[in-house]
Amino acid sequence: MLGKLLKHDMRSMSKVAAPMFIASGIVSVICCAMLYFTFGFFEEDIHTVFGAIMLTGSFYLIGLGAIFVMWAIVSFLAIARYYKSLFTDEGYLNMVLPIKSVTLFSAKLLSTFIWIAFASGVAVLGTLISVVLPTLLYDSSMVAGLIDTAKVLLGLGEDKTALVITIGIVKLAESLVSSVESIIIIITAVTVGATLINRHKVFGSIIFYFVITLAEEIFSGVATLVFESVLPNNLDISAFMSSLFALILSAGISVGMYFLSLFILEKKFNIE
Amino acid sequence: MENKEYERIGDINLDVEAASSDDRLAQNEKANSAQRGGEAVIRCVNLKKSYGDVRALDGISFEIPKGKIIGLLGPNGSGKTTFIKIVAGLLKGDSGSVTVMGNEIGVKTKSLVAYLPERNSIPEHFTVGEAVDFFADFFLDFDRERAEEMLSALRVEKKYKIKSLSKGTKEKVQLVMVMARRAKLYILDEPISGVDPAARDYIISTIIRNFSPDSSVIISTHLISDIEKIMDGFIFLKYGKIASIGTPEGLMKSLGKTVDEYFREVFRC
Repeated sequence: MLGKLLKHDMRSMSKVAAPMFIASGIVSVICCAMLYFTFGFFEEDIHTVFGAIMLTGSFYLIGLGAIFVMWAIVSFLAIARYYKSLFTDEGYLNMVLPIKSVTLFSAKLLSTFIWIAFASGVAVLGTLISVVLPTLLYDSSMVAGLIDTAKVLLGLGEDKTALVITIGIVKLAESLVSSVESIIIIITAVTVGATLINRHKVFGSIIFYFVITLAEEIFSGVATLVFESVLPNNLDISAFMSSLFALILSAGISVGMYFLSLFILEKKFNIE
Repeated sequence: MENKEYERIGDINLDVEAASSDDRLAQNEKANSAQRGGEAVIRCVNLKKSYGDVRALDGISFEIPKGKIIGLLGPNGSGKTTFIKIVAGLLKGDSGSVTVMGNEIGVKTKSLVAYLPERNSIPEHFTVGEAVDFFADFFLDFDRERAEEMLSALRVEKKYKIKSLSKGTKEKVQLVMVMARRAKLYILDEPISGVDPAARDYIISTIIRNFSPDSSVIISTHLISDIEKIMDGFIFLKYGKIASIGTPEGLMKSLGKTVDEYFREVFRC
């Protein structure tokens, strides 16, 4: 049943998401070409370089912005699809399907994750095509600078010891789990808000989003403070333990939010 | 037990007394259903539901056997929709019990109950063909051929998008999806409201054509005169309680009134 639910959900969303992804691809290629040809003017005099940047720069930025706007739209639509399928008239059909609540909720949640992950992947790929590819095509040595920047962002720096690499991996995992946590907090806010404030579902969802986020921030902050107070003085180990703790905390909060949403759907659901 | 204040008109086998007089029946529904020949499609015992201080259902009890078309009638706020939602599995009662074919409301009963909500629940972005696929995927009792026959009789093509259909056609498509199921209980919430008289005739004839003696139908509506001719029995709900229960024939014989006339009398403001 989970597979069937996913099939129908994926089919529904693909109708709006696919054109967005295609548009992102086209914009990325245009941006790539724009940056590549702008690099070509760098060998000219300063006035020509300035003119070329003025000419293409704003279009390039709009293009990059469009890729992220499309990511935001698909992500928003994925969450809106969750809301519509359970809390609007479509709920009269979905909630009477002969399947367990846990299967229905898991399918809807998974579908939301998949589309947001897909949209994020397309946005990252679009950025790589727009930024890295023209750089690579023009002068591959420029890519080394970009890789160094990425290393710094991941906490790898120049040091390539096993511990630092492990910290980088944990940080990467932490940011992935933290993204999942952010999505499930939104889904929980929609579930709780739309169920408990039945006559103003969207308003209820927004209110509960702020309430849940605030509670989560306070809880995480206090837990992190307590945890960090018992950490050893060694900076590397402290950094590793902090990242690991943040990862476990995010995972724990995500699981908690999952069961809270499920409980609300099973016990308090009433569509009007 | 409650529910002794209603009026009973005509020889209708809705077994209100049987359902409300024995507490043990509520506790062991399956065993009793088998003992009674398993004939009851739906059995409701002392069902209560409140929203805050408002009592939507105040201890209603009745039993509907197979092969009946029952009108669930009452003014707005009488508890009809709450009852329907509980049976469909959209809402949970506070106390009492409801069983369909001897099963507590849950996944099993959802596969036995075909529910037509008052609103269009088929996603607007679906095509009619996708709606057929959806019902066929989730409801094992869905008869795809029957649905396709009914759709072609309506001249609705599978490629049409639901959002492009008129309100009346959407209602008909939704009715087709529900009535194409070989369900044990059909619950139709306001199936003929908001459509023209010709569409009403179509909807009523579709209900009759697809109704089998093995199943029962509960129709909730305000347009009583339109469905009176197909009703085997009626249940009047008032303030969450059963106000009256009977048959159109019994009503005509004893009071010389149609159900519509009697409804106006009982619920006069």
